[in-house]
Amino acid sequence: MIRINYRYQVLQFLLMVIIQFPLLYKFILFDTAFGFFYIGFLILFPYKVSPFLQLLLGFLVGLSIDMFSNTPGMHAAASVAVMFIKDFWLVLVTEEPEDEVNTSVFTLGPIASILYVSPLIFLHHLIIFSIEYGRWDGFISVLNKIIWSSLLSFGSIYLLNSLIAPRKRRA
Amino acid sequence: MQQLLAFLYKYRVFGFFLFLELISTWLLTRYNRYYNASFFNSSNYIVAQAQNRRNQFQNYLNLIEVNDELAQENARLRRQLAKQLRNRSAFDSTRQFEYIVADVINNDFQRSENYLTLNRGLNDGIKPGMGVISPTGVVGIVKSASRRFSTVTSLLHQDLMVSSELAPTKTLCTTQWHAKGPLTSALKYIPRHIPVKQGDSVITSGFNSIFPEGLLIGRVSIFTLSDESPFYDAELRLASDFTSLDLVYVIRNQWKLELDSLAALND
Repeated sequence: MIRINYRYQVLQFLLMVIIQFPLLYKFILFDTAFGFFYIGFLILFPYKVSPFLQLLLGFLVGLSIDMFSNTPGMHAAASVAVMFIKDFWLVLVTEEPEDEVNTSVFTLGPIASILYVSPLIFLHHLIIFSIEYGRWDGFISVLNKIIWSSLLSFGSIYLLNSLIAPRKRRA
Repeated sequence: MQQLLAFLYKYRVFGFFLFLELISTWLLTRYNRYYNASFFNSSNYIVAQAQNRRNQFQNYLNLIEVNDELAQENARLRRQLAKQLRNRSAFDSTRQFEYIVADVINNDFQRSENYLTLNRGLNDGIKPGMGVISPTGVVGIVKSASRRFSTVTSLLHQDLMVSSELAPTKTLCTTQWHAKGPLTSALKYIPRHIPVKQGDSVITSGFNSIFPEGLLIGRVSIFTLSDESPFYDAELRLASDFTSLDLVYVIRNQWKLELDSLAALND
């Protein structure tokens, strides 16, 4: 039985995706860490929803981000890739959540959320930065950017999510 | 047949995934190269409107600097006007170019491919392919335009090459960004027999119909000459401050059609 917490999803969308638009390529620390926290909305999207819906959602969110960054297809490709593997990955790193489909840092717990969220962020950033850089020489400096950006994105996603996610109810 | 259908059914999610990735790749490799592809980028009306709002808010924070820059430009123009009035006999080529003032409403400079968004578009006479300059130097070339907004490929874009000239010797060379920060750019194809000094100004060559001749691009900052290379390995410090672009001018070349059709005859 899938019970999606719609209120939580709408809040998550407003806080992560809508706020990202004006802050795209503006939320930068020390010229190396680029924050892309919109991916948090996709990564923490409910588990076990129809895969077609998830892929399409990833594509649309990515494409709308692309329109702001003048790179049609780049964020879309990365977001679709994340949406494709996210459910497999969740099952792999955590024991399968039986009744809970709404993923958040509280339902996952701190360790599982690091294990689940951060590799997906890294994958997303890897795709984006390598497409944008477009060549292999000097890739070390790009890798540096990817790692710091992933850390910044992870930090902001964790923070934003813990602000709005419903606390885990104990029986 | 039955098996084929079963196979397709079994891998339908993967198929859909591949389908979306293919669309993304097509958008990225083909669509973005189209001449004036203005829907899926920042000249799109809604996107540009949002960036415009953010910019209006941001502008209040650096009014003082903008004021200062404009005052300086004013002074420079006055000097230029005085000079022009003195030697009127020179061939008057000013009519060839017209300048359209535009506000920068979005400006990237920290990526490896940077774009600007301007609040002027087709309605104001801007067309893809026009040159863009700031009060201090060259900025980029218009990539696409919608009715009210346009997207500009910044000089800080690895694919943009600007035909340039080393001012003291009038040597033809090419400015192409090397993705190492927004302050400098690479300067290519200066032959080794040319004497180069630090601080030599690099200007537009006027060999294409985009920029008029003699606009400042930057000044030579570093140059080395290895034993086997036929060209210098040089860097220039850009004249425009890409970190705080605010007002720019889009250059309309009245003779562009004539020049280009003449050039096409040679092909």
